[in-house]
Amino acid sequence: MSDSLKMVVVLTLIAIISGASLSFVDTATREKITENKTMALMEGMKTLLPEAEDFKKLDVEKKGGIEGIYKALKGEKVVGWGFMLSGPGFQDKITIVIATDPQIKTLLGLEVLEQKETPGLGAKMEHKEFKEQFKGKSLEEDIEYVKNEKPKDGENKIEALSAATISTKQLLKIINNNIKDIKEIEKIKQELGGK
Amino acid sequence: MKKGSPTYEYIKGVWKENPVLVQLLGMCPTLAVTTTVENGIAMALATSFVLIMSSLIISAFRKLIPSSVRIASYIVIIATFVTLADRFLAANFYDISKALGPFIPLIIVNCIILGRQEAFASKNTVKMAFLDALGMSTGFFIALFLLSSVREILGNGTWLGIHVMPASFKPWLVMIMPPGAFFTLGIILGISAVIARKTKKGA
Repeated sequence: MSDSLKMVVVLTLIAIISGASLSFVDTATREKITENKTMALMEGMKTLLPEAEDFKKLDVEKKGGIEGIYKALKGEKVVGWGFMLSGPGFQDKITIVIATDPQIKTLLGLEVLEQKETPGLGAKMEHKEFKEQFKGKSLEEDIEYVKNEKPKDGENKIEALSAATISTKQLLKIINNNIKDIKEIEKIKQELGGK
Repeated sequence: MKKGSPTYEYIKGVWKENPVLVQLLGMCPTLAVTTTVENGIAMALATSFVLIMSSLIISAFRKLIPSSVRIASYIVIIATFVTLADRFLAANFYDISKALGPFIPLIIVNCIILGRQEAFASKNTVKMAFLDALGMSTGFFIALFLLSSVREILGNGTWLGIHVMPASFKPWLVMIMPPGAFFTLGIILGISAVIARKTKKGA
């Protein structure tokens, strides 16, 4: 066999074997990986909406950072909404899930699903103390932030993460912008109007 | 210990030719993922898997791979194992896979792996290549373990997630940020160089 032929044969063989093993592993793991992601999302929504028994995914066109809309049901009654949202953070994409009341007027809480912010600074958005602040904020106006102080009672503001104002700002943007878009979706309008 | 003996080929990666402390290879994962001990261990294990498997395959087929396409062949083989490791972590250790993020796919370009294939596995028997890869993996593991221990204890007050510093201790934030990685690596490199020189004098 000439050298150049050998070269082609060997490299092709390696590529075929490698491709075959990759597709095998992909089939073996794909279901589990999707399951892991869904489980993290479901767990997040369960903590935020403990009374819900079931989350029904609403089929809507993907728009902006809206990754998924879930109706939280207790029996037949709508007890709230779960929204999976994403958007750019300081360094990489942030994916969160937020829960609201049935009228989408009040925020019940937020869980961070994926973020790659600076460890020790922006990454603190996963801390309980920070997330707790979002509980009960109004969604009828934008949520804003203040730096280095506790927001006054009644203000629709949260305290920014110190030394990670951009992470905070981006996180609020994800919530504020997408909530506006969600309220414009026909199906959601029908749901809210019908009740 | 004689060069070429099985024990030597294993031990050299741990100390004399430690990939991080002596050869200064694989700096990117070393500096980036050592923010917590858990991440450090996971990274070291994933890299070890890729290194050992690639060395086994490449040393077994070393006579079949034409030298003109060897690098391309190595990269395809390494990339395959990296993807396997990546998918395995995402399926079974979702939290760790989330924390390591893009650094698992980047094992492909870790110079320790390609370096060992070129310098060792492509010229030696399967047994020797395995010992060499195991030794290098151990060396890499030790380096990452040391680095991440120092950084997690000083930067977060914890070790493997357990509080080890007194409550009054205020974590040095800088240690878990990139500069902390360089400080720690520099100090550890210095210490290991001093030890290396001392032991040489004694011998």
